[in-house]
Amino acid sequence: MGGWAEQLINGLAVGAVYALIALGYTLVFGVLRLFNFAHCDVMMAGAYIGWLCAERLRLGLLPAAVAAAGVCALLGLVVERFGYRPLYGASGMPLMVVALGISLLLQYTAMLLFGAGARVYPFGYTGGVVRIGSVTLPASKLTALLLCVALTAGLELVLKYTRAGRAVRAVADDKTAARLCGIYENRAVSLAFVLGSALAGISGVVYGSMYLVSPLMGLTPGLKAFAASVIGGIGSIPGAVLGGLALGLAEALAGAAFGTATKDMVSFVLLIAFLLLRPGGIMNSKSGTGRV
Amino acid sequence: MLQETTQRLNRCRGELCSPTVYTQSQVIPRTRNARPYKKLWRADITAGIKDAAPCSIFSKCGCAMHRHYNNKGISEMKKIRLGVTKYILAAAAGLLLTMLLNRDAYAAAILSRMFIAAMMAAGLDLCVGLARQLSLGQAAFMAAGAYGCGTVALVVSERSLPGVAAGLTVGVAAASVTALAVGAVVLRLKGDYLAVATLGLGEIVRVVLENCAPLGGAAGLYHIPRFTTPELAFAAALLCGVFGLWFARSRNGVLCRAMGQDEIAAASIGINPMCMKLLAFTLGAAMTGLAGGLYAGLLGFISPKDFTFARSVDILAAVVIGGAGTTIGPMLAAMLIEALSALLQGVANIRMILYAVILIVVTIIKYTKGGRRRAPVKL
Repeated sequence: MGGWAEQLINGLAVGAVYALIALGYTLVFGVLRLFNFAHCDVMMAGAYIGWLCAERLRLGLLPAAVAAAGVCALLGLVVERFGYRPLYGASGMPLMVVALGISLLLQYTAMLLFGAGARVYPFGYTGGVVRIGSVTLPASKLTALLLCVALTAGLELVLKYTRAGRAVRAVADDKTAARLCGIYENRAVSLAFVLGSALAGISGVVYGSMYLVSPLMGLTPGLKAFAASVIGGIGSIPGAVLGGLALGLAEALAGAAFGTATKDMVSFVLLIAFLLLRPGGIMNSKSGTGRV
Repeated sequence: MLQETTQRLNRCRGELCSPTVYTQSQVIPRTRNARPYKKLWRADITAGIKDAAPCSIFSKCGCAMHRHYNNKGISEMKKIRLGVTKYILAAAAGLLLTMLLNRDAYAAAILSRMFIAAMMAAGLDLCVGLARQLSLGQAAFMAAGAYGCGTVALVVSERSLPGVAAGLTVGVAAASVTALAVGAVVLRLKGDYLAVATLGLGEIVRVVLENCAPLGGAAGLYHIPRFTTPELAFAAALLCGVFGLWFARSRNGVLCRAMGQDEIAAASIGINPMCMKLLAFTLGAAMTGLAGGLYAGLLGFISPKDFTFARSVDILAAVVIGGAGTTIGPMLAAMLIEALSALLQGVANIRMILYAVILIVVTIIKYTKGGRRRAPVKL
């Protein structure tokens, strides 16, 4: 019983990180209809910033997360301005290829700066263990879950109740109509990048403190978070969170039931199944139409 | 439907400044047995194609097929005009020849790698450039080819010609069958979603290989006879290049291209889009499988780590940098990239950064025409 409960919490914690990354994919896809492949490397950058703060500056988790969010937001802004904006007239393949190029650029810049070896956060960085009844849980997993809930709520608030956030949603809904209402489309797109990248930075700190930090660390969680955003319904905020958590759970359960070999496959099998059978994802998002 | 088709065809004509204007009575709806495109295809479909060829760094030097439209709107192939490219090509060929003649083992390996990369680029170009189906899972077909060929070569275990031929055939067959099976499912998806699905498939194939004990698992296959010579790779690359060029200009190739331009318009004049997509996808995968087989024969050992997402990105980068849809462009770009990465072996990190910057800058310049936005490129 205890084993299963731990698996569930583990799955949910990993799912929470996927959800945080998936939010970034979904935000950018909403306004730009672009699969931002560089997103997972922004997360990697966040993990390194967090590691620098923790190891060199001896900062706690919260200041490190804030620093990572800030730097990543800036990085997201730069990437959007100089990488994607020149190509807004074009669509599809050119944007995607630039995204792949930026992803490579970030990965190998990190390799040049920090070396190819993996770095580890200080031991017990996110706290020790928590006991609930007979179940022992690492505090880092609970932190991940709490952060996910808090940040998603915060994001919803920003998008629903601030002027700038509403502009992002308007652009995601209908670009032309938004422009007619006097919304600066490019500013909304920039904001979506900034918000998404900041979340990626925080999730980088969380993911990095759970596992290792290395220049290529972003690839696997990035691809899986991406699958999560499609499974949840790309373009939808609750969809991204649901998709992330569901994927984390599915992975943990598949790993427990059929061995770890199947763990990495689950997300991609689910991704393709959802694309073919329910293109709108769990939330049946409108952006999914036109994909089949 | 009829009205939409008419509008689409006229829009195609408009882009070409062609004088013919369609009326609805001229557009024949798709019927089951009659195949109206038989009459229409050369004059109309070909004319409806805005050639992707001028979008290439090589075309800046004048190395591209020039499509000429006469006053009836019928396209004619003009012969290839070579400007500066003539000398570049000659220099490259001379360099390759010297490398072939007095080579050491290292040069031979680099040469083989270049030709193998060129084959994969030619294969993906059929898929991306011609049929406009973006695939990010090309590494999976390469893996199918490599493992198919590697297994047979291990069984035969000598470098005899029939053994090599059997290995490569099995490799190509494995890649084609994989592509057919996979394509029948995922090619229903469009655009970016197809890219995502193929990406997922590439990862699935890699994970399956990692956990497949008969194929060596994560360690891979060892002691494969090393049969690949630069000559063999060159012959195969030449075959792929010529086949790619021929296919692009054959009837089916033209139909593929028309389908890539506008699926609905193509379907309405009797082209089966799914059929064309599968054709291009499978042919591309077959070429990639052949390259995979040669790759296995070059290294002597293969493991799932050779066929990651990064590999698929490499192939796509060559196609984009070389100019999608030109066959020759992607092949040259792939060889150039491979040669550069061999030259810059000592500074691997800087090499990758340089590569990424080139990829970004070339893409932005190509699709924006000197900083200004061009009309949306459909894919």
